[in-house]
Amino acid sequence: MNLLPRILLLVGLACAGGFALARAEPSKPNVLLILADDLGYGDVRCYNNASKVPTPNLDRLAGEGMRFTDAHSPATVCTPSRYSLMTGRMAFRAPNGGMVFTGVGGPSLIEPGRLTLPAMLKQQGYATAAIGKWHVGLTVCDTEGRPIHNGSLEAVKRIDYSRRIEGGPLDHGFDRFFGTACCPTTDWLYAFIDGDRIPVPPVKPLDRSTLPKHPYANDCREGLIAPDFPMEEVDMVFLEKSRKFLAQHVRETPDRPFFLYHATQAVHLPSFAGKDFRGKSPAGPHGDFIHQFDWIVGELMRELEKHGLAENTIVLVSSDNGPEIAAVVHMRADHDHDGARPWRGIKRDSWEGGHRVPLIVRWPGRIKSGTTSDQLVCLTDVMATLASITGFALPRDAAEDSFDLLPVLEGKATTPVRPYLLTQAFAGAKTLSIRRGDWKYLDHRGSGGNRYDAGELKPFALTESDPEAPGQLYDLANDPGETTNRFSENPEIAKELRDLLEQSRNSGRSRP
Amino acid sequence: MAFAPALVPPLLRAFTVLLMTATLAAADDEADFRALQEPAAKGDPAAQLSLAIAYRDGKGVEKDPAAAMLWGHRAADQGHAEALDFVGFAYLRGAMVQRNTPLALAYFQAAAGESAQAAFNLGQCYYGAQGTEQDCAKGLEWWEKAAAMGHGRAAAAAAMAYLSGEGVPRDPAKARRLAERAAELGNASGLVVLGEMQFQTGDLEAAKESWTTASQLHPTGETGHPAQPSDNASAQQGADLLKLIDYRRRKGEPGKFAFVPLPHIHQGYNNCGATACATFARFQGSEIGGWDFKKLCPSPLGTGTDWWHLLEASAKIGQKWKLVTYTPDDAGFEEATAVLKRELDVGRPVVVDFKYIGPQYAGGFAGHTLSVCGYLAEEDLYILCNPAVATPGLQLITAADLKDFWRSDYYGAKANAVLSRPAFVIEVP
Repeated sequence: MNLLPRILLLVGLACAGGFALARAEPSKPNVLLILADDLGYGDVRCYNNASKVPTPNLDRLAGEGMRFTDAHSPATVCTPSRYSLMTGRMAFRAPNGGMVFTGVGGPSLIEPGRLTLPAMLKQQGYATAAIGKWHVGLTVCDTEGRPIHNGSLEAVKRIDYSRRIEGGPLDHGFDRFFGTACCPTTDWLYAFIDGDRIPVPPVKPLDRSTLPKHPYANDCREGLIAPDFPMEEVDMVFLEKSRKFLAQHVRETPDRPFFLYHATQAVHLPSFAGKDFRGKSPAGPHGDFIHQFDWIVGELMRELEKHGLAENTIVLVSSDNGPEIAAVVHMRADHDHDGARPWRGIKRDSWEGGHRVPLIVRWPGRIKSGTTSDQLVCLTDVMATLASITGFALPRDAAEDSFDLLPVLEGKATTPVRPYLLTQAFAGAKTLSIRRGDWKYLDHRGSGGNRYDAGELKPFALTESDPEAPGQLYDLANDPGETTNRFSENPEIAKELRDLLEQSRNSGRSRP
Repeated sequence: MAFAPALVPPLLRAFTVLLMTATLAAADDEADFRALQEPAAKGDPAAQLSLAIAYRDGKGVEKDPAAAMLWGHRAADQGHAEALDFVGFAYLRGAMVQRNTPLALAYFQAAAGESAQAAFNLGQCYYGAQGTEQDCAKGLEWWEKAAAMGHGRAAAAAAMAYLSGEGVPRDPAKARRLAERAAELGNASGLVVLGEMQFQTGDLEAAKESWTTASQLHPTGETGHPAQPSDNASAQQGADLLKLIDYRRRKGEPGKFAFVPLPHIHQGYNNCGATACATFARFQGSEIGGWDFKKLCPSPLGTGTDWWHLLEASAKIGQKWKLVTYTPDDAGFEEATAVLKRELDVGRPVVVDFKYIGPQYAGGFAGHTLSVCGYLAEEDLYILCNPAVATPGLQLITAADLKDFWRSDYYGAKANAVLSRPAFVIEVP
């Protein structure tokens, strides 16, 4: 047996390891926050063993970290959910906090002067970068410098691309940004923003005839497209930008920690999986897209490992809300796959399927591998948690709905970290719900989002069990599918939760 | 074993030839099926769709709906327009998979830019409220796009909608252009409706030519069978209309023949009952269309309509009709046809309900409402005005077929599943 190649290999590995260890490790951990778009709880294999889409990278990440089973997006649609992730505050508390932007919609939901997650980390010495979909609003101007806040195709035609974009990620704490204003491949403006400019403006109408055609691709609207905008490879561009950020960071500022917020196009419709992913899952085009998202997570992890960053980086992966109508309805019928499993409701709805999302956190040495937490948590909590980890004292007028999850991550929490959870559905402040323990109160009738009396969701409508009740009360311990409204049976609990919701609404905060 | 042709009786010889032809065709189908497998497995969407169709139809392989859907999906997932239409149509029909019209709509939307058939089906969904709110204007828009892409049936359907003003403003000029387009595309129903337009303007020679051409496009017989495929029905209509030209221009002769002209409306998806009733109402001076008649009934658009609801709807527009039933036996038919002829002789059509039985119908049977608007006693034929076929909707039916089909047990909840021969007749004070 020739031992030489093996010895050489071992020497090589030792050198590589030595190189990584030799680099000065920043005292604060790096943070990689990966946010999927419309990824359902049931889309991920480690959350749903009946999922038809293999998600080996997410499963591996869960095996190396902590998987939360009762994590929630603050809202059931993109814009308010992302606002809350960036600020630690429920969006309904902000003006227009129920808004969902299209095109170049804005202005930013984040009020000037509000402390944001990236701004906080920047103050803590972090290099901050956002790559991908922003969708919290920004301001573009026309040729006369007038702000355009109309999220329509007509508005896109009036943009003066030589002017700076105001109120975008750079104005809210990110050092760098590369991405898109709203959903990258859905509506009106198909162009990348680099920093605070659109360096390659759109020059012609989008030609949809050359794009993939299937029922998961119908959500691509007309618009103007830039010559460098690859409709089917947007996530690959984002991945490449995040790779470059990491490489540059290691090369140029290795002593500083970084915060990389990577917000994918996947798996928002239209499901334009990249060319290397088409037909690669057994669950059709949307399955391919989920598969691509999983692959991207794996690639980002490999990138951290390549640069020797994996051990000192907190990696968080989650989704901005539940899965979209067409994705759920079609995949249930076409592929026996249920992205909302096991919950009632989907994106936009107040029911669990609208906001119960996957949340996986990996932090070697601090989070025990392969652990699961059933703590009630929310994506607003990312801010207080990272404040705690980095030693930042949150002022009272910031992160008002954010709770520190560090004790949970370290396995030290013996009681719930949150007294209650708020969520907002499609109609914003008009469709709030509150959860305390196993009881969940919806301060409205119906879904709060989608119509179930007609169309594709009609087959999934449940008979209202307490039709006269003004709200809905569910006992999630005994009825996780939210099938039986116990409002009239338990008026005291309903009142208590309603009062608590009112108190939280009026006080402007849920964090003490 | 070999045959000695000279010694074989002619009938047996014909049978043998038929059998050999069928055997050879089956062998061809099997070979075709085998040839598809490799390219399909390699991902060729056209081969995958062909394989799906083979599994659906049992061509060269045992029928296998699950395999048909699997291969259909594989091709559709690659964006193959005809495969998207294939999957969408399966959802629309509820054949091979559970019926799911919103899913069907999404598949047609995905394919409609490239597939004329999908564009036609998408128009059908909008026009007939399948998987979406009804939007007749959008339905017509898609039918016209499909027509421009070469879909003759879409052109004919659009022509008939504009001709009768069903769901859209009446536009005879546009109807004519679309009928001509359908005819140009060699569509039999388009030729029928074009011929009718020519007939109505007195251009008999042109009408004869259109109907003759229609009748030659597909096999025809002395009369058609109510359950024949739609293309054959259109060709047969051409033949029937040629035969009826003189009758339509003559005064009726009680006991010998009668013909009562009805203003035909071509029905939208699953709307035969309301459309037949609308033509019946128009005959009596109303302006109502099939969709508007349906909207007077409690059941949703695109679903079958209870006959008692139709009767209540008729009263809402001031019509006076009576529901009469006759027993499904021979005696009942004698009685029913006696009444039928009496009505037709005095110039009043009658609405009837048919029952179609067979494996091709979901649930094993289907109901259909249409009118009887004439008879030819000498030949023991009746004249139908059928909302499901091309304008003018006229078809000849033998007395034997009428006896067989004019029976129904689920025409309304109050029928209590009792088989009878139901009819709406005009109530005479």
